[in-house]
Amino acid sequence: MTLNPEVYEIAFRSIYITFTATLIASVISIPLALYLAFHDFRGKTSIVNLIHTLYALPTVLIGLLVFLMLSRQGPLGFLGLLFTPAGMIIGQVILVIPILVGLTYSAVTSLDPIVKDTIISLGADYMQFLVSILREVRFVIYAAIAMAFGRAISEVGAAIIIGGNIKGFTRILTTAISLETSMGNIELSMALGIILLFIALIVNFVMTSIRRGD
Amino acid sequence: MDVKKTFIVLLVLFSAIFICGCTGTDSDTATPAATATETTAATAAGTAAPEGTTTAANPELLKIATTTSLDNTGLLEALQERFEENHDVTLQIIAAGTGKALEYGQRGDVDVLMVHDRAREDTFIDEGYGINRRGIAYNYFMIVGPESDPAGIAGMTPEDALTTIYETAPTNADVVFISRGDNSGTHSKEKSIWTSAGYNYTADVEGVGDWYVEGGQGMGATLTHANEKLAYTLSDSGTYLSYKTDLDLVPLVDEGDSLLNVYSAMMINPEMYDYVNSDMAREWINFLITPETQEFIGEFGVDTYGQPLFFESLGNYEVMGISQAEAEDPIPA
Amino acid sequence: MITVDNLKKDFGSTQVLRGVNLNVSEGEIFVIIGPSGQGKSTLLRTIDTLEIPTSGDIKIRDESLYSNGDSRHHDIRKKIGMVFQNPAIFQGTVFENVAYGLRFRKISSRDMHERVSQTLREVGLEGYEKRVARSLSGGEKQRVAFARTMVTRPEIILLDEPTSNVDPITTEKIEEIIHYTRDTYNTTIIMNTHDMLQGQRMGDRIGVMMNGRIMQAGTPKEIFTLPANGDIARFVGFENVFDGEIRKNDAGTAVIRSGTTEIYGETLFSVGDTVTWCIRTEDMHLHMKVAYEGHTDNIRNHLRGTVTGIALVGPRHHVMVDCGILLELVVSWRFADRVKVKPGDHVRVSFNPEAVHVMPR
Repeated sequence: MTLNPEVYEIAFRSIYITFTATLIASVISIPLALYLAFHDFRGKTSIVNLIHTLYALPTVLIGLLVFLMLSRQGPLGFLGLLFTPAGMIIGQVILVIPILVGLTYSAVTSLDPIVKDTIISLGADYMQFLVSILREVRFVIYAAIAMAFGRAISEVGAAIIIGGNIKGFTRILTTAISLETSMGNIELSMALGIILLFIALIVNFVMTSIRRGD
Repeated sequence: MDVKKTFIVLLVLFSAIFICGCTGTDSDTATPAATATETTAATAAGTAAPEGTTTAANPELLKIATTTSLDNTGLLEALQERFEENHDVTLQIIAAGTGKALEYGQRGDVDVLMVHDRAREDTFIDEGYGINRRGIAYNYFMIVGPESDPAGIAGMTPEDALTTIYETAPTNADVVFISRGDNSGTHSKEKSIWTSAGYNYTADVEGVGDWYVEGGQGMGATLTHANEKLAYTLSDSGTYLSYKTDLDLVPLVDEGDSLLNVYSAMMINPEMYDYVNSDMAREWINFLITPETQEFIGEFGVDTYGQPLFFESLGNYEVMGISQAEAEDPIPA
Repeated sequence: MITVDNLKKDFGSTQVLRGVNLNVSEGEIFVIIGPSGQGKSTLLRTIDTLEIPTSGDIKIRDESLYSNGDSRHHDIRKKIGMVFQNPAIFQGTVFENVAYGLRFRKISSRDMHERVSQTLREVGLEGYEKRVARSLSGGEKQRVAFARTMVTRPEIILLDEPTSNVDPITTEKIEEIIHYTRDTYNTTIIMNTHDMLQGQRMGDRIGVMMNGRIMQAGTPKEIFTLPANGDIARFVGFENVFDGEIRKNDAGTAVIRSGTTEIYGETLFSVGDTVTWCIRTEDMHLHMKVAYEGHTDNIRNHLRGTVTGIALVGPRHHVMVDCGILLELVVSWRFADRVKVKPGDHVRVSFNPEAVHVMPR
């Protein structure tokens, strides 16, 4: 294993970007899922179907889409976010929102209706109701967040298109592995790959222990 | 209970980061008022180029889109260190191949291009996107392949070599050619050799058979790929030399005028995109053509590979086929 | 305390509540009985604001739930608790489950612990605080659901078939808890059940719900002896319910004709009125001697007929006798053994006109 500080820097950057993206995506997705679950409107079924389809959204497609949005000539070009970690975070947020919304929505809608009735019966106001519903489905949400984190941190296609794999700035584990492999540095690639695997294991472990601790 | 507290802390953290993220994004970019006036200005100017809708260039950053060969050899990283020592700047190097680099330049997503495709550079400059091109280094392309040389091209001219490969490959399964296939400078060079050998690239060569593989990867990856398949490929000498120790491939064709490989740096035209960091771009290019840097480029890799990966442009403008001014004159402020 | 005024609720094209009117007093246990699918649950859910009525209103202490839109629900809501047939047990411990409603009311942590412990004691689950709620038995879960509702001290508790899925011992315990709650806290309780006997045991008053309406409300005695119509009569256990017409009425003792049979019954209906009359199985007597020997008692109804069937129900025999109308009556095991009654026997059935309950048709 290489004790190269750059390796740790890359690993830390991967975690930072994906962690932030997962947090932002959760903050967006969970209220969105609740809205979908408790409001009826035209085209809702189509939206839900679309979200399920987007689970398998190809990451390079997201990369291309976000590239076109963030490029100087794109609609959001004035933000100057192309080839930045913030741009990569945006890409990952878009990548995992469907998973988070979809799984949270399914969990909330498949909850026994008596649970919802009971919460209302016990005198919850609207916010208390929503929080209680989330509390009842929290394990599904934890699992969804872990899954989203895993998908985002292991993604390479969008990261390389949006981030540009700039050394010391937007180079993350997956893009570094891709580069080092292409440069023939198999050992370094392996080291980075093991770190990636290790992060995935830790995330899984943390989620499992939260669940067990409850 | 602990779990619940953790959950609440996380939730607060969520919101905090999210809110900070929002305001952070705002402060990174223009203030709303500035954006509004700039948008108005752009509308008033009525130009196609989005020169108004922008923020002030960030003086600490210089974005460079580069051909993979300059990056994969480690030259750029070494130059970056030297430059950053004396300048308050962070270079952001996006290694992408000449084709993609030109695309980034055309969209105004970078400040400087470092590429090696004279013909397409000329078009790029003619269209007004690039200015102040300077030749910074050169070397030669070479056709590398397995030592056994199944097509028997060793010592041929590049055109004869490709012709021979083209003719023997259909009957000899050992003959495989891996093309970059990514519109990079190297790929352009390969196409131009096919053309001067008398082939129509798109009609005769692309997709002609299993033996012609379009790899779609950078130079380093393509060399690794060719090494795995014991195939022929066209490489710049710099990348080949820096990868040589890991490769079983040997140079088979390395002489011929058409193998000349000129690396240039150029600025993105600030009249097209007024937010580009032209000052630092100019300093970077001028840094590249100083005698000290040129000497460094000419010696880069000698201690590791026993020979230089690139030749300095200083004093070699005639070999490179460019004007003296393009090789040596600093860009005026 | 609770006034339900012409409450209607449609689900799509199905009218579930068709104009419910109901008054329940403070501290009263009001039991709603009725066959399944007649709107009992929907009525409770509407009082609990879980369903919005199509029309009509509910008033809690003169405060209208539905005339002012939804705005006041949460204030009134906090006075109402509801326990469902299949309780939803939340994730976590018994304590967390019972404390749920207290959290919504922002009760301090110390009060919360005290009140939860006290309520668990009241429902017989003392010391269960740290147990994982979902690992409890069905009966214990239902008691947790009771505690969860009781702990918030609602003024009104709505119980939707609270014992239909639990064992008899838990049923008894829950009935105790219901009485205890009313007696201790003067809670107004409305309870649904399809078990008539439970209704009789629990109810200060009973409402019979049929076809989306409360068809009759009254004390258990009124409901079980003086049903308001034939459907209620059948539901509360009258086997002998017949349509008829008043042929004569002599100072309250009328002759009622049903088909070819005429009987005496005490009623104030006038001649020509069409009525439904009923009589309980145990209010009729079976005689093996067909001839009537003119006793001096006031039993005026004597119908001759043929036994068509005998069924054993617990310690009694139900005997079916065709007297032109098909009567069902009850005789003791010993009587049946002694007279050896069997299908085909010619018998006589007698009953007192006072035992005949006559209702409008």
